[in-house]
Formats: sequence, C-alpha cells, structure tokens
Amino acid sequence: MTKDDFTVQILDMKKTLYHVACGILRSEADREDAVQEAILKAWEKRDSLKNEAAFRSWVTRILVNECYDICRRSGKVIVLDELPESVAPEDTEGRELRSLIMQMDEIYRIPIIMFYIEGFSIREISEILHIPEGTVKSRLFAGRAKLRSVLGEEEEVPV
Amino acid sequence: MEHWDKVFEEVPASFEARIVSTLASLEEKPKIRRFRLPGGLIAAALAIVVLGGTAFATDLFGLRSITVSDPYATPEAAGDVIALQGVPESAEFKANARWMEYLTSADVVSRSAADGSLSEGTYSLYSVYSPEMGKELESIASSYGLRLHTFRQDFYSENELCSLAGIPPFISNCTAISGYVYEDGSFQGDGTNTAGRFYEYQFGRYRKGSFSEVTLNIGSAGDYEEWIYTTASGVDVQLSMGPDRCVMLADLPGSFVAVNLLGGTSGNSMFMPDPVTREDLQAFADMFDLSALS
Repeated sequence: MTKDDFTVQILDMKKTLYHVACGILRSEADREDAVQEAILKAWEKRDSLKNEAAFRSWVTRILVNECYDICRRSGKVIVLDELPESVAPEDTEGRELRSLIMQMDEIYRIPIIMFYIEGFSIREISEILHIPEGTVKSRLFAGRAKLRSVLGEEEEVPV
Repeated sequence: MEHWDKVFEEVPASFEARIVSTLASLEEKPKIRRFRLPGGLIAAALAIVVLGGTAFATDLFGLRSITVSDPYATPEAAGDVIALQGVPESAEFKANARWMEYLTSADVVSRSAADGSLSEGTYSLYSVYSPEMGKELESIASSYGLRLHTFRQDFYSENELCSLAGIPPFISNCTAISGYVYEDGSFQGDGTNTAGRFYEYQFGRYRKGSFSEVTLNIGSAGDYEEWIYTTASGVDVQLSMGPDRCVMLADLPGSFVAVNLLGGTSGNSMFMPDPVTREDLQAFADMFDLSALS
C-alpha cells in the first residue's frame, strides 16, 4: 500500500476514528494521542494486512487497542459523560441520543456506536472487539432496549 | 431510530489536524510505537559480568511461574500478566513482582492519575507520579541490587539498534524493527521478519543488573504449550505457544530476552491471521542469534 493510498483511506474514515475514540476516551488530548499512535502503528504494520478490503476494520481494531492502552497506562476512567458542546450537533434529538449513548455502560456503548453510527457489521464488530458475534448481538439488543426505554420508540433491533 | 446520523456530526479541527500531521510525517521507514518509559537514577557504569560462551541451558520454568500482579487489570483486559525480565528467583524478576504488587495494592495507578501528572526527569522512565512512588521505586531497586535506567534513545533499523546497543547484527530476515535503547544496552522494539510468512513481534533485551517494569498480558498461562528449544545459534530458549500469541524467553549470561510473537495457534490474530505451528515458532526462534546479545 502506497502512502497516498494509505492517506486517502485514513482520511476517509476520520469520522469513524473520532467516534470510536469518543466511545472509549474522555479527553480530546487522549483521543488525538490514540489516533496518532493508531495511524503510526497501522503504517508500520501495513504489510501485514493481507486483505486491503479489511483496512477500515483493521485500523479501527488498532485504534481500540491504543485507546485501551491509554486507559491502562494512565489509569484513566473510561468515558461516562458526553461530548463537549463544541462538537455537539444542534439537533435536539441527536444531542439527547448522544448524551444517552455516552452515559451507557461501555460494553453497550462501543457496539452501539460501531453498529448504528459507523455501520460496522456484527462480524466486523466481533473481530474488532474480540468478542463472539452472539455477544455483540446481545449487547446491541440490550443497549438498544435501554435507549428505547428512554426514547420511547417501538422499532426492533435490526440484528 | 432515525436519529443515528445526528448523534455525532463534526470532527473537531484539532483531531483532524492531528490526523493530517501524522499522515504527513509518515515515511517509508517504520515509526515506533511510543512506550511509557522507565527512567532512573544516576548512570552507573557497572560492568555486567559476561560469563562467556554461546551455548548455555535454560531450564523450563513455565510462564505461570513468572506471573505478577497487574495494577492495570480491567474486566476487558483480564488475564495472567508476566514479567518480561528475569527468571523465577532472579533479582530482576523479584523486583518487578514487588513493584507490580506495590502498584496494585496501593492502587497507585488510579490515585496518581487523579492526583498528579507524570514526573519528569529522574523517574519519568518508570511512570512515577509522586515522591512516594519514587521512594518505593528506589527502595525496591536498592534492595535487589539493581540500578535504574537513566536514558533512552529511539532506533529505526537493526543497524541503528546494533550501533546504539553495541552489539553485532543478530536478526535474520528482518524487514523492519524500531524501538528504543537504554543507556546500558537494554532495548525494546517492534519488528517484522519475513521468511515464507510474516512474523510480527515485540522484542526486549533486558540487561541483568538493571530494573525494568515491563510486563505482558498473556491471557491464561494454562493455555500455553511450552518446551525448551535449542536455536540454530546454539542458545536454549523457552518457547510458549498459546492461542493468540507465542512467547520466547532466554536467560543469557548478561541479559534476559523476551519476544512476544503476535500470533498463535488459533490463527485469529490481527497481525498474524494464519495459525502458528510448533515448526513455525522454532523457525522464528532460529532467526535470532541470541549469542550476540549475551
């Protein structure tokens, strides 16, 4: 993979990188550190990626590892609050939903963000988080149920 | 729900800028992963007694016997944690175990993150956050007759590593390695060897007589098949083959070596998706002339 190809693909997934980092880390500085380390590591290890179609999942997995590394090394607490207002959408419903997601337990929050917001498949989430597909589904179901109980919606979880 | 696309909309300018600047900094040679590094006291140029010879025996002690407390344990990162320097009963292992026990029992990691920032200078290489931690670190190192690291320098190739550490080339089929070297020739790095397949690994050499706090989460120590193997260079190593990773350990006359191969028997590693066999692991071990690191 050339540097140009790598750069294009990383820029294409900048929102994904940010949203996933938001799901795990509290501070903007830590999120920026994590994404920097993830990009450097992905570049360094790019030759080990045999299937370039899996690039997005692969980089996300590296980012998740970096985020957890930062948590472990610094003893920092996993994020439980919401995003800063500066990046909050103006839409009231969106803001409410974001706030609810960010207050959820981490085991529900990360799959919710990956599945509903970033569009990863159940299998991709399973591989990224190293948890069984059934566990991904049950966490999505439970997470969605928690949101539905607050938002009062009837829609079924599409998993 | 139809609001998902409204939950997160904007990426902060600073986040995007970091991505752009990181991408701009990429070079063809690999970048190292930044570790939180140990540090130390005054440089003590104590001579390591090299016993000489290249062939020596490592007794099979097993990963279970070098497990230590894990101050960073979380439900998501549960598993056995091993010290990467020292064998059972060695001063280096005991010191590491005591330091980890201190960090765990005192809940120092959480308290330090909340109370203060990383110390600079003397203790920064050991992630010391408070005078209390520094005092404990010095006490442990002193009680086991170990010195603390004082300095480290990055390397981006095997040639650079060898030059900085004062050692001859020792890796075959190495296509990339980068990391950092300490003042005494101890080093850690991420590497790739390419010989029929890719071998992605992390390599550490820890000089005897120095204190290191490096540990590795190996999952369940009971999941590993372990044996002693004599490498092509005549050095006995302990090989441990697990589902997600493999570990190679060697007790050299003047150093301990630990290699974490980022693939295992289950073949679901992100870095090495194909299963690692016993023959693969032994072939991997043969790529290192550990006698050069004695």
